[in-house]
Amino acid sequence: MRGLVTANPTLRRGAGAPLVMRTTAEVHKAMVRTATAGDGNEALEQDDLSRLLISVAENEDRTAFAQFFGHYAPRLKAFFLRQGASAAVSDDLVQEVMLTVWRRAKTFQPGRSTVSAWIFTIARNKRIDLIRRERRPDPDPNDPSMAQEQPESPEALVSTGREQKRLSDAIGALPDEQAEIVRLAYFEDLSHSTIAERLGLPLGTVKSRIRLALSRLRAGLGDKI
Amino acid sequence: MTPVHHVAPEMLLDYASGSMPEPMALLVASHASLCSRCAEQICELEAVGGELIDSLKPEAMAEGALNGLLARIGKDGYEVEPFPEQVSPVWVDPRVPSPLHSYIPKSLDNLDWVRRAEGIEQARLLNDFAGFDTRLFRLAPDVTVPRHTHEGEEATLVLTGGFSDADGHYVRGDVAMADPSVTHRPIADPGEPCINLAVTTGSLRLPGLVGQLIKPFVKL
Repeated sequence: MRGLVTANPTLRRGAGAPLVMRTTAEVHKAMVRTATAGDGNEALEQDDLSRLLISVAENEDRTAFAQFFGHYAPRLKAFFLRQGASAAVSDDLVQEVMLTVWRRAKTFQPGRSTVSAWIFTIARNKRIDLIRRERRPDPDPNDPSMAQEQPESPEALVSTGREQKRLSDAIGALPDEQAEIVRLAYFEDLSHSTIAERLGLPLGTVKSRIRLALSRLRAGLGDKI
Repeated sequence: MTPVHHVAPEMLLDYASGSMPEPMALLVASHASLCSRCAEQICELEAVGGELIDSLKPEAMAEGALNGLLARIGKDGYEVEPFPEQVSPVWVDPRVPSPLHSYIPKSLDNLDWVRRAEGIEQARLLNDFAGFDTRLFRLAPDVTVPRHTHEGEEATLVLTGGFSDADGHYVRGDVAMADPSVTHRPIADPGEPCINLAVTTGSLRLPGLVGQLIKPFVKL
């Protein structure tokens, strides 16, 4: 699992893009077909998105940023709408996330996190900050008290895309009763005890379904721990 | 050393998905700073969140949203920022996990500890956060906390020293969970004081006549 982890945008350290498969110019070319940014039809692969983000970080590349926006803004809007925000508030939240993407692009580290995990943490923290008006305590992987982690191996970096496919398959393969709870947690912003109330289930049932779901997801990832 | 007692999976989910209130999130983040296993599981759950966002049917943004953004970025404080440097805090205490740092005004030794009972001191954090008691406790070596139960859930993260109750022995990084079904009488380890972060929903109760009588003195 090492390859997929550490998505916290404020905390990652280390070298930049180790994977070069296509140049940013090639990505641009590949996306000529998607001229109108913002309609969400330009579904890009994580590798492409990763390169766009690196180009924003290294070159302040506004074209790359526009293409990144074209992919993620409509999905983030859907995410905030699912959480109960109005269309106007969702638009505002997406703007805030995208401003942070621009400003904090250098904190994205391919190989240590996927673009989607990175952007999820930004979206989640914006909601906590702007809607709930709370601070978000995040763990520090560089905490001196934390056991020293091994640096990423090349194998771990290359495996990120594969792990992501496995994760997506594992989510799709969850039994309905487990998938429902996972969706409520992420999309409706409900805690496990609120989910229990919402579904009229005993707390213990919800807890055991969460445990089963998480162990399935980990098994799907080929747990390396 | 990897902790033995972790936060429960459903708490990791609440934390990673973002639904957990700040006081308990502070405890989970502090534990994860001392526990690479839980830190990694949180990252996995963030990857799940990313996958779920990717799976959503896109919703069209408002007209002009991108142009509005393009007009803002690159100036007026919206530059691409350099990679964040480690900020040097005004005080350093290696016993305090990073997430907890900004919630504590001074190092542990200089905190305004308030005596609650013989050998038991506390310092409140996150005072304004309704519905939760967020406290640091400092237990003198070998002190016994009076037998008590809880109206809500209580999570305790050990920062220094250790303590034992009927369920186990807890040292730095370990999390002890208690709920209304638990009545316990924790005993601090000998040696150094046991400093722990305790987050409680609802107050502690001391059952029985003896508990009622001593409550004014040991109400935790």
